[in-house]
Amino acid sequence: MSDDTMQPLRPNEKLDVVKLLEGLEHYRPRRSGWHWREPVADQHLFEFDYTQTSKGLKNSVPLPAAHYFDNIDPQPDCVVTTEIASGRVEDDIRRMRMAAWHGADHMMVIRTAGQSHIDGLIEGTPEGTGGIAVTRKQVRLTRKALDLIEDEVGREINFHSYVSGVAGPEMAVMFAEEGVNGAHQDPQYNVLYRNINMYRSFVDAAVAKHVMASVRMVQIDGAHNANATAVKAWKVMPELLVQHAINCAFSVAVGMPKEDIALSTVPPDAAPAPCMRMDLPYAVALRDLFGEYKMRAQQNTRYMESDGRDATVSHVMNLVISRLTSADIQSTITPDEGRNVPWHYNNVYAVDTAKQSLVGMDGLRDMVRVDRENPELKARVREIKERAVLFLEAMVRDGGYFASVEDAYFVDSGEYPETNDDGIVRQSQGGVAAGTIVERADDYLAPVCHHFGVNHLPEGTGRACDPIGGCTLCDRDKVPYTDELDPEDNANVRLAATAELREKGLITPEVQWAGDGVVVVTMFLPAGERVAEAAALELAAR
Amino acid sequence: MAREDTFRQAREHLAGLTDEQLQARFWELAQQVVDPLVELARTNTSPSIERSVLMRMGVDSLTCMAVVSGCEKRGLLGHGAGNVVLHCSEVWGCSVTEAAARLALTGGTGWETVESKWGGAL
Repeated sequence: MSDDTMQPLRPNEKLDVVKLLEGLEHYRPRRSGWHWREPVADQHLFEFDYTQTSKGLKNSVPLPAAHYFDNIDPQPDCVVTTEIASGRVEDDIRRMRMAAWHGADHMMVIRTAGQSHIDGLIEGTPEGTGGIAVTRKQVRLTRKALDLIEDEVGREINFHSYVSGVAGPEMAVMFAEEGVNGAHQDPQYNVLYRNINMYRSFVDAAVAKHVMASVRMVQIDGAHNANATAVKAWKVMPELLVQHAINCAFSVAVGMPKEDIALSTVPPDAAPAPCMRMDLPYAVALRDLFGEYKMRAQQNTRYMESDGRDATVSHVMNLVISRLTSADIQSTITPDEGRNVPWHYNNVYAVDTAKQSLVGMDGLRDMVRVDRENPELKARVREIKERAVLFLEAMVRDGGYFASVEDAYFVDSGEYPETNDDGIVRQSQGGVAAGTIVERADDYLAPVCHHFGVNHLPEGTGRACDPIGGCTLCDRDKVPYTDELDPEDNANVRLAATAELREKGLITPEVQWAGDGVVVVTMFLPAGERVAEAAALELAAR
Repeated sequence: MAREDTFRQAREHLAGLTDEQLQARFWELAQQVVDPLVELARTNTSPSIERSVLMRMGVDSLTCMAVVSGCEKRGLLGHGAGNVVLHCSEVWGCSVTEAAARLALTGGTGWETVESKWGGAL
């Protein structure tokens, strides 16, 4: 049952965030699971033929040059992601509408710094740092807004969040209840980058993944973090294959269908390295080994500076690799992400960059193909795979996953079997939430559906939740709703501070929050870098 | 320990494999790495898992936190927090959400019902 108290959006009217916040306790998601774009095999638009596009939108903003071409707005075949991180849910949803009009159908909301270490759920709508606090109210408000936005643009929108961190099983259940369509889940992320105890991470992950699978949530792994963390990103290619394989094999073993598992893959390098020649063999090797899985092509962040032009060119080169190989989901990184938390118009720029590049290269692969017989490419593809096999052989020989993490196998700056002894080390008895797993007893019972692992249900039980008369995954009306717990730090209080803007229709420049008043000025100062920086600060102050 | 790139020597046993055999070897090894992890997960639980069970039973997050902490404190997590709450609801003749709320009350009334079945520790 979806909320029918909201009127459809009108293109020239602003999103009524205050109204959206009303009645959230009664909202129920209208669907679950992921939506892939609907391809149109041979699409004719204006005077052009396309071979890699999908069903068009009802309302959208075409690319800048489209007015020469009857304002067509061809939509690429793959899902396009935008990452939103304003830290305020009420502003995140406004930006989602902007991004959706430009062609994004995968809204990935970054969560606040530190949430992965909170052992439990957060409630309400507190402001976050570098992202929002992921809460039931934040998820519900967002999904409710996306229902309206997807009706407005005419294409289903996937809402994505994070089932990593120390409270993964709870996150997974909350997301399943609230209609979240996709999520990151990779216990290796917990272990390597968040120093969460490794036993706890894998035990939790199995339960979380099993719940995600029950609603066909698409899972994205965390291997891109090795790329973003490595001292020399071009050296971690064999390890990236290993990390992908561990999460894929683990996910399948706990019940996740392969078609719902996406690999987060990044071209590891950037110019001035000869990056495309270095990264293409890796992209080919990956797709050879993981042909049954989905590819979520991420853009490079490892070598991103504060130069938006430089970042955009890197991303276009990444998109060429996507088009020469494959991408089921094309993620975008905003060109300002090397400088600040992404701003509205940079989300739009990033989505437009992806759309422009993907549509511009439509059908190119029919004419320009990767030459699999090229000696350098062929040898390198094979070498990367062999190095990954050697990595796995050594892991098995040295005692398995936990022992290899203790031995600093991962994110070493040497290309395996080369090592520089600078990998990330974690202790199996250490980290956040160490010592918190418990063996399930002979009478262990969890009277709920979609629960992974040993479960001694009474003999003759039909559905696992029959002893309690139904669980929340079977009966959505049993889902409890908790509103704000903090009377100060919440969306209503923040919205009250900007009420005048909305009521009087005032216009204030902004980059991430309504009325934040931030403007960007571009100027050329004929001086050296340090003098120019000091002069610019002085000019801005005046 | 740092090690120079020994790839040329280390790969010798892989050199004769076809691409298909190499791929099969890759996945066979990945499965070997993963199997013990799956077994660990199958036979263990955690506070977050038990809170996720209570959530599926319709219990709100604050109450989940209190009940699972109570179970942890008494060494009862291995029986399942859902098991504990279900048992109380049957003994007290109330819904599972009411039973969880009672166990979550400050001061923890009702834990004697739990302890009379399972004792204070595993």
